[in-house]
Amino acid sequence: MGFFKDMNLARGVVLASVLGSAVLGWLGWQEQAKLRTLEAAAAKPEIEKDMVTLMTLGHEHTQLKGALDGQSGAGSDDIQSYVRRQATTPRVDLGNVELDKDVKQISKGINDDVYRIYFRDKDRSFDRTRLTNFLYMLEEGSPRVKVTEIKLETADKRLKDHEVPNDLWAFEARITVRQRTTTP
Amino acid sequence: MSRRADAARALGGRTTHTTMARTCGIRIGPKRFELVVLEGGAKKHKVVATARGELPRDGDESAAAKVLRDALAAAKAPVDDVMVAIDIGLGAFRTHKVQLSDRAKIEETLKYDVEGEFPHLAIDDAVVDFEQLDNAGDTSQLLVSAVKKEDVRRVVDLLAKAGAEPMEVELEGSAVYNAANAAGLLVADKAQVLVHVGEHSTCVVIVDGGKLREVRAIPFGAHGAATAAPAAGAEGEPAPAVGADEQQRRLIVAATRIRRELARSVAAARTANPLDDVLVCGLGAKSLLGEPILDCEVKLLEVFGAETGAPDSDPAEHVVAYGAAVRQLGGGAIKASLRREELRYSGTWERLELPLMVLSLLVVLGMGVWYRGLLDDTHALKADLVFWRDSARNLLVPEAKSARVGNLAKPSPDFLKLVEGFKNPANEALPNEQIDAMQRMIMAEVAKMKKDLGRDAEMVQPQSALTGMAAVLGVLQAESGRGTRPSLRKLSATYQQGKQGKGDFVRVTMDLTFFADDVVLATEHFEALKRTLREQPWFLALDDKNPTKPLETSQGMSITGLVVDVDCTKIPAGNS
Repeated sequence: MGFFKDMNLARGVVLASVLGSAVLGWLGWQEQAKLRTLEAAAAKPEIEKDMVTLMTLGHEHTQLKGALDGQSGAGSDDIQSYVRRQATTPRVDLGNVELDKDVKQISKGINDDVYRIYFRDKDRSFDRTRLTNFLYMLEEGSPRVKVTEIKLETADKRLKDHEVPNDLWAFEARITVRQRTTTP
Repeated sequence: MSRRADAARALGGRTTHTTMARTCGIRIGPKRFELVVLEGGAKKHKVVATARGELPRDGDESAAAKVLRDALAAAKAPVDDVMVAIDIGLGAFRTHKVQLSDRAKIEETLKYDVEGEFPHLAIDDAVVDFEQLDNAGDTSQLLVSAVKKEDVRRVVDLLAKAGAEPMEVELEGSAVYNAANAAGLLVADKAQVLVHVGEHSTCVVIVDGGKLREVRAIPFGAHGAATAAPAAGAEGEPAPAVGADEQQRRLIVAATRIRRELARSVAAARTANPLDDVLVCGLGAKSLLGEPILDCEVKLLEVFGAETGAPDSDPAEHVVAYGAAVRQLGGGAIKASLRREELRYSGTWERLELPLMVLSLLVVLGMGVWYRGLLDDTHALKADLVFWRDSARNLLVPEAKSARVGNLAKPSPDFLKLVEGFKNPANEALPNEQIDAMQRMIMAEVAKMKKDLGRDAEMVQPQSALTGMAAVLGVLQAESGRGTRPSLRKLSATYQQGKQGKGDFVRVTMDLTFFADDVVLATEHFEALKRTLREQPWFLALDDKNPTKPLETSQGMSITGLVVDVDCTKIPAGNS
């Protein structure tokens, strides 16, 4: 080819420039694609949305982590300790509670651990405020714990229908911890 | 061509041919032309085609170009390897001594050194060429020739129109010398006179010991003097017919006059060796033969031999064209160059390469500027995003050193490793990708913790009996505000798992007494309570099958086993 046969400085410059332009064009094309991505990502509404999402996720992460740590695992010993701890918190102060555990299969791979909460002394009675505080604290302290049964009865068994009862109640409850037994 | 032409000029008009090169020499005179096509090398070559003919006399360049084009085509001449010799009458010659020996330095200064020696020429409008005759120390004896640029240009243009690219242009004198030299006719111990008879001028070349010594132009040729050309007709008219006798008579007259002029030249020639031969060629050269000129024998300049082959007719007329062709083959001893100053004819690439170079440089410069701009923009955007990324990291990750509390109270080791990796220069991920990576990792951890806590959508948690009970008691509380005086005796709330397509719910069972002024009013309060319960969005069912019982005091009524089913999922947030 005549162009290469009689190569000189000018032709060398042309050739080098063409090659250089091609390389720069390719690099520029890639850089422009990157720039478009960055422009889209750096657009104010977009980046602000990302930041809000991150912060929200951070909060949620913290809450969930706290919930997990507060509950400290899924073993029945932990749940029983948890219940007893809640029973002795201020404004509850029910004292020692008894717990029986029962396990029910709800569906394949999902079990309900049901804990019956009662007092060894069946005649023990408490005012409504302490009892409801206890029940509230049980659910509030662990997102996994649900109070699934409550039984309240006036402590005075001989109370007539037309008599006004004292605010003392015999109490029994069940809580349920629903969890997977196997990976679905 | 034309890199080849340029290269040839750079080498002083010599083209280096290796094997079987093909060149064309053309003599273009005022009325005629001859061309010779040679094939071979500088020393050994043969004539492969010749042509000659007359050029239109009315100055019609298109017609002249056509004649030349046809001749070139007929001879299959290599149009990109053409050497041209022009009429000696167009040139003027002087000998000139300069105190320089370097050819390049002579070229730089000669033109204006000899300006005064060519008073009939405007030096800027002339091409000045030279040949070094002697070189002694720092002094050079030059044979200087000058030709009007327009005459050279006209010939070049004419050939360009004919489709040929003349490599170089020379005067007949150098072509005659080169022809005789190539044919081995020049001898070392004699002086010789080479003569070429043109249409209106005769070229006289004095050679001494084989070296060029002098060139003269006699302004009279085979067709007489240029100003009194008998064969020329009026412009646009054909030349008048001339009979054979008249032609013969004119040739004899011309020969007589040329011989007289040659005698003067021979007499004036100062040569170291004795003048021996007068070798003639050109138009009507044979008419000069026969009688010696000042004791010098007149012979034909026969450059064509058995080895080279000869033109079909009148080889003496083709000597100049042969000399030009030989030079183009690289065999020229004298390398005259009358195109040294003109704008050289160039091929497409040659014409375009400079603008192309400028254009391509501009393009590459523009591309560079564009790319640099993109890099700057990218860098600025990256800096913005790095700021956001670092801000997000600072807000999320707690730092014990500065007692900073992060939104992520307890980030996982994987997350800490991820954000630590942002500081690594080898990390090529873009800042926005790093922000996305943080987001993805937190989302994955949140999802895992939700699953661990049983809060994922795949596992529905049981409804809270506490919530259901609170909802029912809330209604009871509201009814108390309207004058109802309920009194609970027994209360139970139990979560019920949905069966047969029904959803989960909480069943609240109550034993209660309604105090009132009388039984009827208490019953009304009970009915009002039931109505209100049924209006609630979470209400599912109510069972009051057990009969009510008036109090012993008749100031109210009691009911046992009042059942209310509650769908806790429909209890508005904040009421549970």
